[in-house]
Amino acid sequence: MRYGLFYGCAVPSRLPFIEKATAFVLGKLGIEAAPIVDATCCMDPIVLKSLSVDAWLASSARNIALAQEQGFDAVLTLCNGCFCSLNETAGMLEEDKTLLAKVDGALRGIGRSYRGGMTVKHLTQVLEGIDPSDLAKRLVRPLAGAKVAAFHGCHLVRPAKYAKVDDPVRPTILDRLVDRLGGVPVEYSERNECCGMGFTGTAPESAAERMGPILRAMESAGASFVVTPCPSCFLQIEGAQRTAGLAFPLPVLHVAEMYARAFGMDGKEMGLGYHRVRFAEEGVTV
Amino acid sequence: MSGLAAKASNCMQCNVCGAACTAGPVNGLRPREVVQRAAAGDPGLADGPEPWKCVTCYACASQCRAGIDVAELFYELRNEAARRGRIPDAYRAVAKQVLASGCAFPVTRNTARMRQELGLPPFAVSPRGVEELNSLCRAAGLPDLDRHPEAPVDAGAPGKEA
Repeated sequence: MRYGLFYGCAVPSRLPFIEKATAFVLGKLGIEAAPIVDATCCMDPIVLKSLSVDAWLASSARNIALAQEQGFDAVLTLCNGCFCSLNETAGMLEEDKTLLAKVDGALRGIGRSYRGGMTVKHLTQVLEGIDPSDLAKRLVRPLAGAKVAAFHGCHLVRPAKYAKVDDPVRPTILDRLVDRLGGVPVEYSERNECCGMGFTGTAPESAAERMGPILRAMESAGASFVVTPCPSCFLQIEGAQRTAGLAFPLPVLHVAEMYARAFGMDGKEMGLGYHRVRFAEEGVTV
Repeated sequence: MSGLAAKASNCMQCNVCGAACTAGPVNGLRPREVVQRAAAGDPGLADGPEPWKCVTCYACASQCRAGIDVAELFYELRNEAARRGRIPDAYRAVAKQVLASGCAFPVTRNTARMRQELGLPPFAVSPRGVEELNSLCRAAGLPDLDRHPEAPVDAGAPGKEA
C-alpha cells in the first residue's frame, strides 16, 4: 500500500510540526507515503461546500484524481476536515456512477480524469491497523499511565454514511490508540462535543466560548494532556485556554505527535516548543 | 420542492436533532423548525439567518430517527442563498482566499519561519493547482463572490433568536 499523503492547509501552514511528526511515524512504521503533487486544500467542507456543493465536489475530486494519476493506492489525511471532504467525495462518486461521470467530465475540462475506486484514510485508521508486535518493537517511550483526554471532533466520524471510522455518536478510536501506548484514556462528560470551529466565520466569540466547558471537563477528569486527530480542534483547544479558567494549562498533541513521542522522537526535533500551550517535559508523565 | 425537502416531510418532530445540535445552545438554532419549514416549502427559509447558524457537525443527521439528512438540508439552503449573492462576509473572505492561493489557511510569515526552522520545505499550492481549481470552480458554478446582497446577510449572532 502506497499512500498519497494529503497534508491539507491547516497542518502545513499553521501547525507544521504535525507534518514533521507524521513523516517520522510513517518512516518508523515503514509505511510508504509521499505528498500528492499539485494538490490544493481539501476544499473546506464548511465554507466551499456551503457556497456550492458542485464546486466543492469537483475540486475535492481533483485531489483524489491526482493521487490516482500519480499511482498512489489510497489517500492519507491528518485532518478531520480533509478526511470529511475527500472521503465523502470518494464515497459519493463510488455510489453514484452518473455523478462520477459528471465529475469526470468536469475534470476532463482541466485535463484530469477520475475513474473511481480510490479510498481515503485518516491517520488514526492507519495507526489502529499497526500490528501489536510491530508496535511493541517501536514503543520506546510509552505513556506509562499518563491520563489523556481523547477529543475526536466531528468530521472524523460524521457524516456517518461515509466516515465509517468508528461509532458516529460515541467514538473511542483515539481512546484505543492512547491505551495501546500505555496511557489511560479518561472519561469526561463533554467528550462528544464539537470544538466550535464552525462558529469562527459568523460568531468568533462563540467559537472561543465553546471549548470552555469541554476543557474544564477534561481537567476535572484529571487529564494531563489532550490528544486530537484534527488541526482545527487543535487550534480551538489551544486558543480557548486563556478564557477557560483552568488551574493549569492543558497541553494538546495531535495523534501523530503522540505516536512520534512514543516512537522516540525528540521533543525539540518535533517542534513541541512551537505549541502555544507548552507541552512541558516536567510535570507531565509521558 | 427539492429531494431533501421532500424527505423532510417524513419528520416526526421528535427533536432529537435539536438535542444533538451544537449550535442551538449558542445561537438559538432549532433544526427541527428548519426541517418543518423546509417540508412546508417556506420560500423565505434560505434567506433567513438559520442556514448559516449551523456549524456542520452532522450530529443531527447521525441521530435523525426519520433518516432525514438534516445537515445536507442546511448545505442545500446555503447553496440556494449563495446563488442569490447572500453569502456572509466571513465565508466570502475564505472562499476568495481559497481561489487566490488554493488554500483556506495560507502560510504566514511566522509559520514560514517555523517550517524553515523545522527543516521542512516551503509550502504553497502550485500555480498549476490554483489555476485548475479556479477553472473547475467556475465551470461547476461557484457563485460570483463579488456580487453582494442588497441587505447584509444575518448569519445568526449568538443569543439572537430566529
